[in-house]
Amino acid sequence: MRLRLEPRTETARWLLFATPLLAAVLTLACGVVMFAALGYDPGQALTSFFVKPIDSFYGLTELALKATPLLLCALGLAVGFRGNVWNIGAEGQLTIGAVCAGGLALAFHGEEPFWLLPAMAVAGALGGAAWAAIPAFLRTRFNANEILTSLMLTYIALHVLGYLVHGPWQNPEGYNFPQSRDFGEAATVPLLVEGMRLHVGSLLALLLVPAAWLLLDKSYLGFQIRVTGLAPGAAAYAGFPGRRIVWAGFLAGGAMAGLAGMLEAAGPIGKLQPLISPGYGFAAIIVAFLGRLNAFGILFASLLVALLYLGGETAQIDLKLPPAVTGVFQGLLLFFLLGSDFLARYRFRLVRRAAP
Amino acid sequence: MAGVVVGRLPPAQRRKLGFAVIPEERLGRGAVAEMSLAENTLLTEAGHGLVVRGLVRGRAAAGYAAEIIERFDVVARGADAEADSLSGGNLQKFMLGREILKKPKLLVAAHPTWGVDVGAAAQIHRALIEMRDAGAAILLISEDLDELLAISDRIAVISRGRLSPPIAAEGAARERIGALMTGSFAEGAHAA
Repeated sequence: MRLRLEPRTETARWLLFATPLLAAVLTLACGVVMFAALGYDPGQALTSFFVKPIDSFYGLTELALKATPLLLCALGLAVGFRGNVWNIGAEGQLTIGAVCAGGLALAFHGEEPFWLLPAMAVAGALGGAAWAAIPAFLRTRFNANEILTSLMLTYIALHVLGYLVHGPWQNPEGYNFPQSRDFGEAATVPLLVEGMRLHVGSLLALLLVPAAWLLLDKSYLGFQIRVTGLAPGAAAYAGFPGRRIVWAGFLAGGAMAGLAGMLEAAGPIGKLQPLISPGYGFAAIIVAFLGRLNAFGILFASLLVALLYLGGETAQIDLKLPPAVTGVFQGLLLFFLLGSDFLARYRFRLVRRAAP
Repeated sequence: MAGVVVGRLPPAQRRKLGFAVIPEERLGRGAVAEMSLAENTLLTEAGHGLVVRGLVRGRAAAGYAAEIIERFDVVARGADAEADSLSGGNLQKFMLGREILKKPKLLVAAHPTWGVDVGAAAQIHRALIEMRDAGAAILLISEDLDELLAISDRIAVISRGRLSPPIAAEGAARERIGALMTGSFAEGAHAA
């Protein structure tokens, strides 16, 4: 006897909706067992994970703030992922986006022209796209594996930012801290609600959801991307432009990540520092797949992952949970979600080994 | 083709010149298994109002797929049926219909009845002959000698990388084709 994995012939529609619920139940059950075994009150732990972060208006705005870069990066990545273009370097593209936007902000420091902020958004998107163009070029010209090149460029991007804030762009009045000057008024994203950190960038991200849906699900380019992802042979037969699809995937992913980086630097951070993102670019890969590469699915997935981030922090503060435990719990939820999603499409079957 | 060198043109431009191909592999090349017939129609047909200003018209594509299904007797749940839910013969009829409706000047059909039941094969043959009568050139690539003799006008054989001179299919002796297959083009002529 052995286990064999086979695709389900008919994937029931209700299964695709039921699996997230099943995953939630399994995560809660496992979480209760784990927290109890470690000597924490499971009820309290789950409350601080899922309820406390969003039980106030301030909490909700923080959730939206945290979800914004995840949403932007994941929407852009989905364009590539649908066409089997594996851009793993959104984190680096985000960083370069912040660098380009930040450079502009510092160049016009003290002048405060009214067009500075939109120019920074454009610079951020272009910078991210330019950084993503490198693996796209290497893939289309030399057939280099884009997973490796885009990932390695992430570390180069982080060092570029590190060099700038330790060197030429360091704040001269900053007591030698590795930071740039604080951005001026004209280089700061306006807040949505006074007193909160939520800014108009979140609104922009929300507007980009239907735009991404239009591109992914309704446009001819989106169709060509999907065919390329599902059946490369059919795309070649149809004569779809394979290289252009690689470029589209990378440029969309890079531009969106760069915009996310600009919004972080010109939003809650307000300057350049060695670390712009706590890993949004990588988490966005999970967000993209959690949302099944669908624009609206990604919107929900970004909120969920943002909640997990906030909940983890709350649990660490409230219950003195070690970060490792919150990390395990976050991993559990993602594991069950992706796992049950997989089982909705495939099933295990016991097969008797054929007699020799 | 028609005075244009097409060997190095990209597929989309070849199609514009009236060139259509039915590949030998159905799923994964001629059609995308996971996609509906409406979406598979879009694979080679972006005209007919199916794509307007870069956006796919879902209803137009479904209507066009339904037309193919009806005209070529494809047994399927409808335009929204996934390609891999069809039997080989029916998918083949669908793919053939998709190309025929484009009214190509030249159709290359590779093994169009491979693994297809007798009824569907007869329908496919009929459709190809109708196309010929309508004035299209058809290049049929097949290893089925009966099929070739039944519906071709002329037959040529490729042997060891060389193309034999075409012979009339009507009254062609199997022995002669057999001789051509072994590469003895000249001797084949004597034997006949």
